[in-house]
Amino acid sequence: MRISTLGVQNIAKSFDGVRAIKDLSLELFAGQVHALLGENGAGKSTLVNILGGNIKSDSGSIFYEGKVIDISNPRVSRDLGIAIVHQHPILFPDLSVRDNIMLSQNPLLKKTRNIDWVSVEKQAAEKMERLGVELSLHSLAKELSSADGQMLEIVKALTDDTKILVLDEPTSALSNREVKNLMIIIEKAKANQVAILMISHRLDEIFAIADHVTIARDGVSVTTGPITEFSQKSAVEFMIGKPITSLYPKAASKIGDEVLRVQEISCKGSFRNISFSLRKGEILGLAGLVGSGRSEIAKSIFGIDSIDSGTIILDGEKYEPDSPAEAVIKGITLVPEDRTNEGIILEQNIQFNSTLVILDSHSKFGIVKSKVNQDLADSMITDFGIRTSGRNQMVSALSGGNQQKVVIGKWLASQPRIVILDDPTRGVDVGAKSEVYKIVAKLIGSGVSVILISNDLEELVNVCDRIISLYKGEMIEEFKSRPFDSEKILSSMTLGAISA
Amino acid sequence: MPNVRNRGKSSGFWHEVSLRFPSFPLFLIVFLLIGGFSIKSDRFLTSSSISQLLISASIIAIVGVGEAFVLISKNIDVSVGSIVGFSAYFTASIAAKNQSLPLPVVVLIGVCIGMILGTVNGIIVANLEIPSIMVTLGTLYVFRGIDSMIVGSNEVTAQFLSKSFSRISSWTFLGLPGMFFYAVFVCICGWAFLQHTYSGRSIAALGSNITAAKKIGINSKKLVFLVYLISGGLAGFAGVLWASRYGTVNSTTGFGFELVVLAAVVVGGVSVNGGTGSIAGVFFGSLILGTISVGLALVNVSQFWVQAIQGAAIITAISLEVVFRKRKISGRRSDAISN
Repeated sequence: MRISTLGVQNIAKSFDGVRAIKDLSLELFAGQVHALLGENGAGKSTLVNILGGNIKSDSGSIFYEGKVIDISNPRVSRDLGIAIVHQHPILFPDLSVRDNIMLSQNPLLKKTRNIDWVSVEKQAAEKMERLGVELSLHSLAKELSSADGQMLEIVKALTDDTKILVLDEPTSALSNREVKNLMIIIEKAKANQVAILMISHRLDEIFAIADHVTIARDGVSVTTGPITEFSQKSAVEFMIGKPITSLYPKAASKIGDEVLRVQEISCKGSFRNISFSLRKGEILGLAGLVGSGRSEIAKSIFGIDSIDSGTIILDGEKYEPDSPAEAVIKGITLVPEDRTNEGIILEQNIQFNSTLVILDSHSKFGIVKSKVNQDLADSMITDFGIRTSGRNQMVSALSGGNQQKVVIGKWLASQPRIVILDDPTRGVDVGAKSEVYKIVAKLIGSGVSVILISNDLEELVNVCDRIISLYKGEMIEEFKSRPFDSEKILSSMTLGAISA
Repeated sequence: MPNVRNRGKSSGFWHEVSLRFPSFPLFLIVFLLIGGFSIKSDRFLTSSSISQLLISASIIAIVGVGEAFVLISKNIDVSVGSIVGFSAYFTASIAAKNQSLPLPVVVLIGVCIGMILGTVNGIIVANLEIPSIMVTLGTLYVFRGIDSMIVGSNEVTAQFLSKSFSRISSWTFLGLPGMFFYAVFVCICGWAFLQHTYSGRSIAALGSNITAAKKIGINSKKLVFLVYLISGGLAGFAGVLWASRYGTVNSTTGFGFELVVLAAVVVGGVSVNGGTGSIAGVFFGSLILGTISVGLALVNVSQFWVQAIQGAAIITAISLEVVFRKRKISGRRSDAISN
């Protein structure tokens, strides 16, 4: 029998009494792409952190080429040749691309020895070229777009000594072109006999590239086998533990009068001459890639950014929001894209986060009414199915999908009439996705209007009543009714025109 | 793809300057200040005022380089004023008692005293994970307290010191004070260490994102210890120069000096949020603070005003940094679209 490059056997790990991993086993072989599938909270990110030496498992063992090893710290992990690409790039924002690469890759240049920048730059440039990544070595990491940051994270992680490559949802911030590029990188690594562990929520990607699959549910690896033994449908059923009915719940809503109209709005450097309207109980989709101006439009409506020209009309009256606070009072809410930076306070518990937006209305003389808030947090936990030990758990201890639910719940607590969801299912698994759509369906059922921003075309096509495509800050096309032509939408959001 | 390097086409010359010589605005401020003061006072552009300015800026710069390292690692060292005083007094009194000690040994004693005090800061901050502002605020008082307790009302004055002790700082070269060359030397070493060594880059990495630094195996405790050791050592060195230069040392020497140093470093563009900062900036920041204090004294402005103006300089520098950062971000956005 072949000896696996890395084996994980019966490991378990708990945090604050919440068992993130109960009994997880899998084996990685050289030259093989092994996919780990599971819903949020299945323990995938915890496993990544154990392999990275950031946390230690409570029990179970890890084998490296047949020998039991102890990954006690990140250094050990790196010395073993384990390269990890994290879901949210972990970069040095104030340092240049060059420094980011150098620091993570040149353990030879330790201590106070002088760095040979000429050779470092040459190596870095060669490497980026090999990987098909185009970044200026001297730009600062904080100046990069999120997709470029993700590519830098990949460049950082991969070295010539990489034996095991762990990809934790590497494609969630990438556009289609970059995903293709990443697939080529993975193929190359595979040809070089690297063992690859890939975690992704995009099943089509997994089925296109993986050789072997392990499915985890609630911290237990439930099944494993060659990818050929699974179909997308059976994989999802293993993940959620029951047969699936429909991912996209059909919403029963009556579309009413116009509530919001945007006329010829422009913001220098972000978007130009955008016009659209939104009706009561309607879901309007904004389709566009990262950098198409989609998030900036949302921020302008929510009063974070100001517009240079054009008008916004809310309920027939001119609306010029100066701040998000004003937007919230007017009944508009934005659930932001970047949940770790803009949407959530990780070092606080669920109750604190869930009631943040409406704290004011739940206070008397500036003192927070804690009973009301407790009830609110509890009902949010049950309404949205947040997997947690209770309202006092720190948000940082929740899995990504559950954090996303807290973010959405927190903003919906203000009972808005217009909700803007900016990429609400980014990096979220199928089960949680479905729950997000259920929330959306519930919202429009009660007469709320929704603007949904996404680059997941399948999601837009199935959820929205109307779709507007954006490309490089300009509005390309309006798709007025279902059924939508996915091909046309795709070409207008990626090429800026509908190809013949 | 957004290519940040190529985006300057439209902004032209000034963009090029800001890329290749980021400290240029600071240089301009020094220039303007000198111009302004020389119009106000005809005594300003004399060789004695200029060397006085350079000496005062040099002491600030030497301590400032150490402080810059601490700030870049996302910590702060407010105890440097006390370390300067501590080292100045004890080095001077050792030199006074042992007149035959060779000068390099005397200097080394001062540096060691500073490093011992820096070690205290470093051990506490690195191991107990208490915010560095609290730790060094504490040691600021502890060091000063011990200093005052031992020194009492004593004073070391020039008459107790050997002639050779003052030679540490009194030499000149090409008409410039020797102190200036010490500062240039420290700045060059500091720059080379920060920009061209693995440890130096790791310090910036640590200040920029501590989680990421730990994940790639950077030993954060060791580096935090190291920056306090450097800061202490340089403050100790500055103490020796101070004693040598001014000849009189008592228990208040260096009192409040930490604020001047912090002002210079922050004016020089070192981010109080860690991660970024250049030694060239520290150098020019020190010149600005040195020019302000010497210049204002020459035009007969009260010492209290000098402090107020130094404070205003800090706030202005930080506000400019914030404004500049915002502009940079919106610049990037337009790139992403136009490319």
